[in-house]
Amino acid sequence: MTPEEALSASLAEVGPLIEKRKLSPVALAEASLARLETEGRELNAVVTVMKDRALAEARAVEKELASGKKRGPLQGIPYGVKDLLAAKGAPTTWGAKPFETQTTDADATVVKRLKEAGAVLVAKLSMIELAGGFGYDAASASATGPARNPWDPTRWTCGSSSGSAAATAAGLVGFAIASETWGSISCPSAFCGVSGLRPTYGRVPRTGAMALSFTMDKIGPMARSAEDCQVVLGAIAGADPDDPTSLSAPADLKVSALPREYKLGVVRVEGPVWEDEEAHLAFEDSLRLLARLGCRIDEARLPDLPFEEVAGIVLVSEAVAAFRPLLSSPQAADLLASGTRTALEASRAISGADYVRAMQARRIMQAEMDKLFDKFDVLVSPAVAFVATPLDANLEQAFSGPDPLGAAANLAGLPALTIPCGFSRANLPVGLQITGRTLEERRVLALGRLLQQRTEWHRRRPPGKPSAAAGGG
Amino acid sequence: MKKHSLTRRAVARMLLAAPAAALASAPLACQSAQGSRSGSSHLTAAEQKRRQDLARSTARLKKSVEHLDQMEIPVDADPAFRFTPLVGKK
Repeated sequence: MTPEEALSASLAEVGPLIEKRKLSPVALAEASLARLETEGRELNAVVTVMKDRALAEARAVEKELASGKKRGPLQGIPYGVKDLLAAKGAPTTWGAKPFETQTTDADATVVKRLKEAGAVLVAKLSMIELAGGFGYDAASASATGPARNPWDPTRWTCGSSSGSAAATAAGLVGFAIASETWGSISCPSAFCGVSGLRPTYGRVPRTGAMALSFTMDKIGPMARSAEDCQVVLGAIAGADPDDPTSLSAPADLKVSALPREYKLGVVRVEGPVWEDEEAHLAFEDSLRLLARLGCRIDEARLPDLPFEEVAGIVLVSEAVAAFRPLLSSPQAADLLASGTRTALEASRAISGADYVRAMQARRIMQAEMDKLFDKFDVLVSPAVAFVATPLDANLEQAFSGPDPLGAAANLAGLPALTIPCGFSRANLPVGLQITGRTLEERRVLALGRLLQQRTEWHRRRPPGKPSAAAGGG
Repeated sequence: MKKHSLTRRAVARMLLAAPAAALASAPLACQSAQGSRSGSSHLTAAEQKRRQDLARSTARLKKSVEHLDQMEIPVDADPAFRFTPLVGKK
């Protein structure tokens, strides 16, 4: 396997080659750096290519391997982080022009943990400005420009973790770190055909991450498969004394029951119609496959509660609180997202009492969502009801449909895995989402692994990229 | 290059570190696009769009608050804040 091919392979395929010293971490890092500089720039997926740091880390790993020191499956794997995570040696721009020269004096905890696991940081990856928390109507709301989808460069990657999804899909990195407040891991994973895990709120420490919504922000991996996401989660999860919101619960990812015995609750999207019949069929085919494998499938009905409204109140209140000085400063003129021009004034529609009541409502919603998991092991739904939108689409219109499960699950801090489950007529990935109970990443990952053992969708690569397999199914 | 410590709290401190007086007197982003004209018939296209966006955002949030008001929420419901009182410090 060449270093270029290895960049598009799974951790399970590449890890043993590195460990047996049949694949050089330095050669792998060099291949990644070269592709980031060319293809990464073309896709607008990259903010900073970290050549010096990457080569130094890769050489250190190579030396360790020569001396017999083994750190596990991430040793020598090149990866990138969404540019809202601090890393020494590069600016941390938060996707926004006012922060283009912002530097930090230490690594984010996630970056520290991945270094400890032997992974090699090669790039800071592009994102929608300030993680899109104030709303935006164009893909161009990023300091690096609109991120292009590797499956079709005239299409968007979705946001806000745009670069993480594009770089992973295009095989520029072995995996990437992303973040989600509401939809920023699931939608880009679906649009770009990668596997993305949004962990339980608090599972992964946020020290060194930009704060958008302190009660809703989560950090998670994007990778080639559910199995790879599981490996990365194992490396980054766990309590951090510098983040009081991080959970001390151990990341026990082993499953006791076989996922084929799972009871699955299907949440169907109401409102927006699948624009592409094949995309709709891809989701339904996945359900049929799961039924054939022995899963018990039933329709799940979300509690009739104003999830999206409450999520909106919480997000706007916290985001404006986090960025109030910036929004009311002259630097705000340099911001690109449409919502940043109105957020401060619009937020006056919400009183302090409204925010407190929204947080009280949220507790009730958490409990109601938890009851669903008395009936079902996991919930299965389309990640989004459509495929990658054109690069110049009006996103206010394109994303005007309801997203009750996204709102409910993010308010309740529930984990969710997005995996590709087929392709549209235009050869664009279709995403399926598996949502679990709090701290039950192991179940969503187990079901994702089961599906990926029986299908090849996650092995497909965008046109012109090295392919691990050509099939579907 | 601006330097700051990286914790989330430090990030907040950095944002708050901007001179308060400068921020208080700073024009909003929109105003640079608005220029010196003030009458609605003379609004620039950018300012017109901003006002439309603002009206839409405000209406949406008001509607959200209305939905929230329709929900039965016990007055003593836990608002899920994480607040730990400092103990043992005098």
